[in-house]
Amino acid sequence: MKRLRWQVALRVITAIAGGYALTALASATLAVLALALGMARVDAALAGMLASFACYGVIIVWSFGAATLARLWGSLAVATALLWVVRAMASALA
Amino acid sequence: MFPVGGGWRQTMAWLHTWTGLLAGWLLLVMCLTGSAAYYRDEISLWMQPAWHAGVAARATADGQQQAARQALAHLQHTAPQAASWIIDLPQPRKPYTEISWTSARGQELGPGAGRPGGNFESATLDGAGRLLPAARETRGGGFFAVFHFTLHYLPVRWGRWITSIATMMMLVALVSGVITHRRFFADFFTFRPGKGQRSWLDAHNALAVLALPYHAMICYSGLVTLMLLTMPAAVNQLYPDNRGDFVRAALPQAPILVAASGKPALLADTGPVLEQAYARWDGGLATRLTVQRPNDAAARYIVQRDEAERLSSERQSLVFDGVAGTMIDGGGARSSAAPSSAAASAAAQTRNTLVGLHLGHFADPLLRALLFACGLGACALMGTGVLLWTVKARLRPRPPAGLRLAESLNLVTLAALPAAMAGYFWLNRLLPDDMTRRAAAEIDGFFMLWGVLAVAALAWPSRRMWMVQLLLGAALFAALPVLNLVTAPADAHVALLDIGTGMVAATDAGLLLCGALLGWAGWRLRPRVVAP
Repeated sequence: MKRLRWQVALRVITAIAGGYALTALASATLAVLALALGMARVDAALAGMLASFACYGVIIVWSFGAATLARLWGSLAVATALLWVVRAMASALA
Repeated sequence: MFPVGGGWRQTMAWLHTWTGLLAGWLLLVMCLTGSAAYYRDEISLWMQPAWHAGVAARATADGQQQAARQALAHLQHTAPQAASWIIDLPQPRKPYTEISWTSARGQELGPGAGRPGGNFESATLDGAGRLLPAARETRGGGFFAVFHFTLHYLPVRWGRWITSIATMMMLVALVSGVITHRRFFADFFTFRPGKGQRSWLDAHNALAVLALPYHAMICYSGLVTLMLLTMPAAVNQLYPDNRGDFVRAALPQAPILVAASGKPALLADTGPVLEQAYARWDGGLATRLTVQRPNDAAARYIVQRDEAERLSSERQSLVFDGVAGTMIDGGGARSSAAPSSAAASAAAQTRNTLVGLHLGHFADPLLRALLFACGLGACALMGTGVLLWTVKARLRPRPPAGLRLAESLNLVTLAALPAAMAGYFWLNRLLPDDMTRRAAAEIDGFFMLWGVLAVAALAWPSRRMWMVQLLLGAALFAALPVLNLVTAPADAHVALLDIGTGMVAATDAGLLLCGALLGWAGWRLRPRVVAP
């Protein structure tokens, strides 16, 4: 019972806080990427923002759907690393 | 209980239950008041009974040109020295002309001509160019529209954050609900009435599936309207030093007030100016005519397009020389920081379309009624959702601790809120005209009535309380047309029916329908004699 509570609490925190942070990163990355691919700056920013809520929704659903916490955190860490690299590369190009 | 190691469907059912339960009641409040906001103009007109006797101004090219001439004549007489005049031309849902002006001192106020700056005055004209009686101090239908994302008493940012979080939870509940749902199309045709829990579930499923595109649209577009506040990461990335640049480039800006030359000059006729605008927009009507520096050689006309005719909420405006009457700028009032192309790009178009969909300004009467029905459908979706939870929880051998609270909150949102909304209409008519802080008093009264009903609901969340509050709401709504008849000028209804707008009469009919709906729900809960 106690372990279950921890399980839920950790998933909730991961979904809300981790999800928001990762969404912010994804949104910024998408915006830089769009800019690097030739979109106007204002539109690139808008595109990044528009897509963000869908991204957040998927992360929240995955936070509860992932079979184990290890798999959840592992996947989010990989996504973070990937987005970080893409953002750095796109920033250099833009 | 969280199903550790359970399948996807079980986990998603858990997520659906909890997001729905935690945000459901707040979402219900937002959804009900937001649905009322589809009729904000109609409600606002209903709430100005002194205007009902006026001649309705027509929202046609001729009607607008006539209204502009009448407005200009009035403004020349009242405020010839003003820094700027704003003329809100008649719209299909606003059969009158609103004029406002900044007094001559407004020149020092700088850009954003016509923003209220302390010396900002306004008046309203009817279709015959007559001055309508001073507006009764009320927030009208705008109150419901603003409340549904600000929650009224909260600090500016808090209300928006709280409603955005609830909407995000709605998005998660929608996604997890769809995943949970097994028989997507079969349930479309499944309804087993009078079977308690099973009937609530059937209704919940049918409502969800039937209007799923609407639910998804209203949810996501709601998030988009506040995204600059809640999700600014992309802007921070691309505009790290100056967020203002983004705002100026992305959002339509109020036209900047030109400097006066000091040389007097005669204003050009507004008729040809509007004619040019209509031609430019393929017959699209204007919504606002701004006159900057009237009677000065530097005068400007700015014509803004009627957004009601287009899906997207992006404003288009044209700038004219106020003396020669020739077009100066046909590219819109966007600042120079914006891309030079007049046509909005795909991303901006998407954002504008989403916001436009959420506001629904574009909808004609039939589509508006459909949107309103969809809004009520979303309320019913959330309502059946929270009811379903309480019905199931009651059947458990050991009912959960929050059951009583949940049952009370069902009452507070589904029965007490509609009654309080009807009460807001009553206060609009019953509070004296010359009362201080009258508009605020109407709103405070709404919350007081809701509060009293909520306390009663929390104290006695019984079936009888459901019946009493639903029937109270029904009576309050159903009597509104009578109240309107008694408190509006005697010739009001005849006048507005006569010229074919019938807007107030239609609003009365709508209010009666709301009463009938609540009455039907309350009547079903009447105590029935059971044979011993």
